[in-house]
Amino acid sequence: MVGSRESKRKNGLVVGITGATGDLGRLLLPRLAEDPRVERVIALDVAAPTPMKKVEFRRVDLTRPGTDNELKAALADTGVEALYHLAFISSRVRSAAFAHELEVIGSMHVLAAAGALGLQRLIFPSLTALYGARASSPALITEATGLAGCPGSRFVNDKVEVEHQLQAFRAAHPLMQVLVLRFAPIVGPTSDNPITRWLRTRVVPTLMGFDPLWQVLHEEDAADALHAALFTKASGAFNVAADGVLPLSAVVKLSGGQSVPLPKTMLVSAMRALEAVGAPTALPPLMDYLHYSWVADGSRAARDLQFLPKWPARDAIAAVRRAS
Amino acid sequence: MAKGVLGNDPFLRGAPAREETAIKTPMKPAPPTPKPLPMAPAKPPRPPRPQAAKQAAPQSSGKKEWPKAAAKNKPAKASVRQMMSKKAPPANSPVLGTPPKRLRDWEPTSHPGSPDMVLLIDGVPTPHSGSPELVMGKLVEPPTRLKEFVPHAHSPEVLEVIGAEAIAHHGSPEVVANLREEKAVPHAFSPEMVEVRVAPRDEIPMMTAREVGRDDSRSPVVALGFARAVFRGGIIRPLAGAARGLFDAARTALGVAGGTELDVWGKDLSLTRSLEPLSDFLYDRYFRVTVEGADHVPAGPVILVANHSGALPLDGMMLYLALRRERADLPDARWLMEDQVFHAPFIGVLANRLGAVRANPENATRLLEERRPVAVFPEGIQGISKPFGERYQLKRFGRGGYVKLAARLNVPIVPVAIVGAEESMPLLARLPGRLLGLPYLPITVPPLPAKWHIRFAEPMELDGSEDDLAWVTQMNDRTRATIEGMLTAMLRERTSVF
Repeated sequence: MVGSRESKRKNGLVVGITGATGDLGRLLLPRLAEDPRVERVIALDVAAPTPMKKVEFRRVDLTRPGTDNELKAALADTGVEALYHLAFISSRVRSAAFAHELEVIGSMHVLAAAGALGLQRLIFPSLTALYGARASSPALITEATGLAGCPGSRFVNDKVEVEHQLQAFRAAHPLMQVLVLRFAPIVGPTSDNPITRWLRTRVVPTLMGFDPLWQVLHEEDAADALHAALFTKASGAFNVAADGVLPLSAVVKLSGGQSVPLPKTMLVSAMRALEAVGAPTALPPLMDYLHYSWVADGSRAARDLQFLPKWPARDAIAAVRRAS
Repeated sequence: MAKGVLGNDPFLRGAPAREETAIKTPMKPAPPTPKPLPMAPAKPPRPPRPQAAKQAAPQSSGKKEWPKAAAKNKPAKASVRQMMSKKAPPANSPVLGTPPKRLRDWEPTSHPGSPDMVLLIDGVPTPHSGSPELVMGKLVEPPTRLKEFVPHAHSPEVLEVIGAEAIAHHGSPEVVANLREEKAVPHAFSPEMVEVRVAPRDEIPMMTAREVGRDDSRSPVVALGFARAVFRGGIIRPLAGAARGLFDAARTALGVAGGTELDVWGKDLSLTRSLEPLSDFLYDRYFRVTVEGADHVPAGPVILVANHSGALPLDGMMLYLALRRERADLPDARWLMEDQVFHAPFIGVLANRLGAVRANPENATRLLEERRPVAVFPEGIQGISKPFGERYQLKRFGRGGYVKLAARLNVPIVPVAIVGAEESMPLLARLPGRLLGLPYLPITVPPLPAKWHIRFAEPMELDGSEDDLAWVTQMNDRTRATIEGMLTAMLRERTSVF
């Protein structure tokens, strides 16, 4: 194992995290800080995280042009061996251009730096939503399934593009361990992402006559899965989801909302109206997720990542209600 | 499909059954509770004997005597019946001596040992009973035609007509004509029953609802006799249970059910539980599903290949229920459903919550790896979109995807034939359904209480490779032919749709 070989030389692994102040970074940092196998954690972000033992802060802005050199220098200085790239958009961003810059261009910078330095391990979070919700998807989507994305949704398609970059990168750097954790919608008391914002609204318009199967993942489990990815020998993509599937109606109900089924045309109007007044809403391009099931098969994560979620889907989604 | 294959199909104009049903006699329901003998005369007399009898009567030379005093001396055993017999108008008596059309045609050899007969004979006075008031009638013509019409003795019509008289005495031309004494059926009768009966109809044994519902009673009893079976054991509770189930199903179809007991395939255990009263009702009492050859389904992964029929895809559910009833040892079966139905609003989500899985190779493989029986309908939507006139005519069996799958996973194939769905939900018309996201909008009736029959064939040996397309085609054809053969046989054996 990479970590054990390194630990002979030093006390442990040096781990870098971009986006350390994001939802996932906030939860992951303490886990890494408490892990004896980790020597130091380098937080690479535009803002400093809560001060913590073993955690160093380096200011890096991934949206700036030419930032790959800056990043490379920071990584080389600190001797980072494994890098988490968690700087993805989850909070509300009005500017699609900024989001694209951070997600796609930022990831490009990270990959360029990681490739140049020859890091041992690269860990990216992703989403099961990238498989798309399709009529033609199998009932349980495995990692081998293509990423169909969601036509019309920038949010989803930017992330699909990042995954495509990653696939090319993996082919170019066969010795590097590149892990992608495709998370089901992450929910929890502190998570603030489009799904949780949407679920925290009282009234949730859904598509009449459809009740697709959803999965969720508790934020603590997501952090645990990221942590587990640091020492596994496996490589590649992993679906990570809580045990159990829930129909959308149950997801809404358990999170304390009331689903209002509307016919498609009315739903589109309702979405546009909600968007106009600034209420959190699923936008028409994301209609697919209200229409068709998208259930990912998490058995590979259980087998190769030795990751077993602690929060069943029902409890995970109920945590949203307690928090709101 | 040939008329003969469709058998006694009241939907089929000009079919032999039609002639019989043409003779109808209105029949009043009998009073539900027996009253003491003295009261009997006060009751309304039975309607006069059907014209059927009159038509059939002329040439017969049967001697008939109506035993007027008979009832009084009858043993206590048949007190109810006695009462009933009392009020039968003597005017009916001529009927007895004249074998009716159907009775004449009957051939006794085809009905040995039917349990139904036993019931009848049981309650019928026979010469051995020693009852002095028995009057014998004579069957003048040997029955011949009934046999063609009813190859089995399963039908209450047969029971009614022949049961008491001929069955017990088929060796001799002498029959007990006096069935009138046994004519106590405290339950209502349907007019359809009457029409086919020649002898006094009332000697029908008091079948319990279970018998009506589950046994091979294939009478065209639609309304009353059926209702009797349906509401055995009370109305309120089953109705309440069914209503609750329907309410949950409606919420599910709308997409607001919010069930939390789903498996990864989407089956909602809480919904299946709540629908149990309804599904049991449909299975036991409404469609009265009979199952044959369920033992042929091997344990472990197996592909059940069935014909697809009926305007609404209810056959998967019934096949599932049949397996659950008859083969409780097998893991929970699932059935694959074509995309068009699966992704239609309301019906798609409902089907999924009940256990249907979208048909694709990944899903099928995974289900089989879970060692479940998997039912497939290779005709796909073609099977359920054919007009009623083409019922039970198999469409093309896809491209044999199930054969390839079976060969790849080394899983046996069990052909299954399902009869009843076509008449339960005849497809009357297809309206454009684009607005609803459907390939078409099926116009049908609320499910009719046709009798369902499911037959499992023996597992088929697979000795080829999925890459051998000729072999796949051959196996596909063979499966189709097996199902077609079973369907033909079942339709021929069927005596009544209802």
